Amino acid sequence: MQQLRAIIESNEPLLPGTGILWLRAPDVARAAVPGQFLLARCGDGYDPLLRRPLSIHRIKPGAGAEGSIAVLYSQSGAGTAYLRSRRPGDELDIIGPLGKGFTVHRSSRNLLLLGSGWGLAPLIALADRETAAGRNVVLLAGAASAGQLYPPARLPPEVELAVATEDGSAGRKGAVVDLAEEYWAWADEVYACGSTAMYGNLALRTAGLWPRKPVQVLAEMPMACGVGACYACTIETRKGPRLACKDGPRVLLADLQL
Amino acid sequence: MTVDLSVDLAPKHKSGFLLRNPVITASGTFGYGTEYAALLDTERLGAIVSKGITWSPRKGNRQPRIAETPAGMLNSIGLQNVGVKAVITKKAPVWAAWQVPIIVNIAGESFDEFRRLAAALDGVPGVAALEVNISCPNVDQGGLEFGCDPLAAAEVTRIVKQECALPVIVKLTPNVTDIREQAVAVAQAGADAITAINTVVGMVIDVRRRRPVIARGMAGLSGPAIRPIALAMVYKIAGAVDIPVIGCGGIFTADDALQFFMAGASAVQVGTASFVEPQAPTRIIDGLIAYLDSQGLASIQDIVGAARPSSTP
Repeated sequence: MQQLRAIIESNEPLLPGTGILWLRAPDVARAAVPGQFLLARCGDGYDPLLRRPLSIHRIKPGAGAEGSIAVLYSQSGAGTAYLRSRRPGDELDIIGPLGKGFTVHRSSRNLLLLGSGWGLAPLIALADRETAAGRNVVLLAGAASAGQLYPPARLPPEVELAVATEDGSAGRKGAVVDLAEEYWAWADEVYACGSTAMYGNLALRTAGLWPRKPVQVLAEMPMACGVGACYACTIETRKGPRLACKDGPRVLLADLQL
Repeated sequence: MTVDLSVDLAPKHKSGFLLRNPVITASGTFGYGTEYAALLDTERLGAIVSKGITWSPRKGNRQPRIAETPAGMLNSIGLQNVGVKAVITKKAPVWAAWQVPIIVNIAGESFDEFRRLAAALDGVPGVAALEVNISCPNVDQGGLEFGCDPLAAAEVTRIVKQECALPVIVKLTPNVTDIREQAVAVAQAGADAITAINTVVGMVIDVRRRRPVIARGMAGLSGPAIRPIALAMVYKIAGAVDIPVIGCGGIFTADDALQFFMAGASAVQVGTASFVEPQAPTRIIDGLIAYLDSQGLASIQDIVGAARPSSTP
């Protein structure tokens, strides 16, 4: 973890209302694990006051002064709207990488990734890393409608993609979890990022599976410090209270009290 | 020229409580002192105040616990902490190896809990002083009921002083009519210093859900939004008691801190600023040195109370 003023390499719209920001941050890129996050100062004054947590969306490690990370941001979000105005060459004050990211067991071959909306952001970093490591990755991507789907052309080509939309304008109509049935037996490990409702749905679907599937999810909670000092982001788990920022955001779905 | 930033926060105490500089991290914003170690040099701090400690471990309040407000934030953590036994066995041994003194913030639900907390922490290596929390707005018992009643505030102070030989600082709530009553009461009861202020009771409502944003409804407001309130209260207290006052409330910069010194504070606590700018406390130290240098002053004590009417500008 470190604080730095990262140089913005590029900043462009990715989807309606969503921007993608590439930051030059060699040390962060070398240390970052998919599922970890940054805290970004979104302004110079006191409004907004708190730093914004941003999932690490892509990691491009390099040697020496090379190395970048990408984050997605909402162009209309309270605070993150500021990020839209940042230009290449500008600096962004970030702290990271923070928290605990996803883990992949050495023997795992087949990884099932489920994400809906913003939940896709950290899963892409995982898909990048694990396809590069030679693992098989299926990504089940959900969105409200076709226009909000993560652009397939930006995925690593080795990823097998299946899509669900709430309005049925692309892929299957319904929730992303509905797509998962045919992959349970195939998957060695499952990774998900989305809403609490999605995690509840996922917990129901995976509860009866045998052998049980290890399912890792990212917990989301409003946070202030990002380092485990303020106790704002406590989540209830079967192992007791845990801090989303420090003990998580990665948490086993089976441990989450939904 | 080297300037002297040191301050004795317990001049009436037999061994005093000398800090090498007057910048302290505030309770609840700096964990147990280890969490920020990667982001700033904690050994440069004047002191660190621990998270509020209770006798038994506490799970804290339901989520959501925080909300952002204009130039501020609301928190309703509810004193989630590991309990005093874990502090003594797991945290204090770590602190004992540090140069920076650790002030343990204690939060009892009853006179008896304060008594037991003070007795348990007395003489524990690594614990330099106690800060008595009679001002947490986010718990059902303890907290404000002691902080709002001068008699109860004095009684808690007396009990803690009786049970331990450590310097005792009492942290006051701004959620009272005239904070001088509480300040005078705890000073007469033997407090070595006063921290002012804890958070201001506040609220935010989500108009779409027609419900308070914070699960518990009301919460404690901190950040630059409360700085003028804190400053006025420090000014009032410093005119009413003859023990050191530690100013706390929305201090983000050295200029902010200077206002508190000039109002009569002997030291300052930095809280919410650490979330935004983890190096705020050390930057404030640097800024104070630069200010004293620029003014040709030898000691931070030279500006304490400088804005009070009795002082010559």
